[in-house]
Amino acid sequence: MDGKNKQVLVKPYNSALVKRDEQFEALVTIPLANIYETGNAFVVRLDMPGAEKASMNLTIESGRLRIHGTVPQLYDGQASVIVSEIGPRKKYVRDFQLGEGIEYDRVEAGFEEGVLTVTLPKAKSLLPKQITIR
Amino acid sequence: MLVRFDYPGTLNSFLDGVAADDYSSGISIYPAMDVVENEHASVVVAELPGVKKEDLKISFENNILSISGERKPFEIPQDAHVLLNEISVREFNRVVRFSHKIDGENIAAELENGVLRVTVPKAESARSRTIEVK
Repeated sequence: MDGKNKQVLVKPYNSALVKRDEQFEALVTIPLANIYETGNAFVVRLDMPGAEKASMNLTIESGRLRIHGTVPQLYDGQASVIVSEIGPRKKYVRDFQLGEGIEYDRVEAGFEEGVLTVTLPKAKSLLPKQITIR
Repeated sequence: MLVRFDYPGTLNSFLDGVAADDYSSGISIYPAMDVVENEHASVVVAELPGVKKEDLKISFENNILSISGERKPFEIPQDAHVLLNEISVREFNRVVRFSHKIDGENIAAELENGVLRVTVPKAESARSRTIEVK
């Protein structure tokens, strides 16, 4: 694994936790992420508590992976709120810049316990290769 | 009315009469919680992405609801390089003290999509009622 490749292949765009997003015209929450790299893939994990699997939307366009998920109302809207730390959380959005070394067709995602896991396989050209001396 | 959270200078000022304790170390609040209330019950909502049911303990004693447990680290392959690590894994313990009587037998909890919901029914004597003038 070449250290120089890392930042080029999967790079998170956003750093602020909450920002206003022009496209969604609403306050969006930027989920916290972990990324690790193995010999043949990058794996991105995002904390998206409360999001519904069915609302999850992942798109790759012009080398940008956008992850989008919606949180339904967490409790009955008629109830009176006594403590509010979670705050209004309607939409999660986060973007990652992908390098050319990712095989877009084989990207996979799973959602469990409020954590989204996206596996981005490396293209064959990036995989370690053993060269035989003739 | 219901709970009070004792962490430095945030909610106390405007949550008059609301009482709870946070026994966890440090200033940061984890997990983030909402508490809402209706005529029959209070609902405590906590964001716990990545926490498994078996790593979560909920107890009720002396009118105090305690939510504790541990978020365990993600399993990653031995040869993996960590490129980004924003998600913190930690033990947690948060406490909500109720000032009204609780129907302790019927407290119910569910964990779904990384969100914990604990429904804490009010005791019959603590429910609001309308008194008719004779």
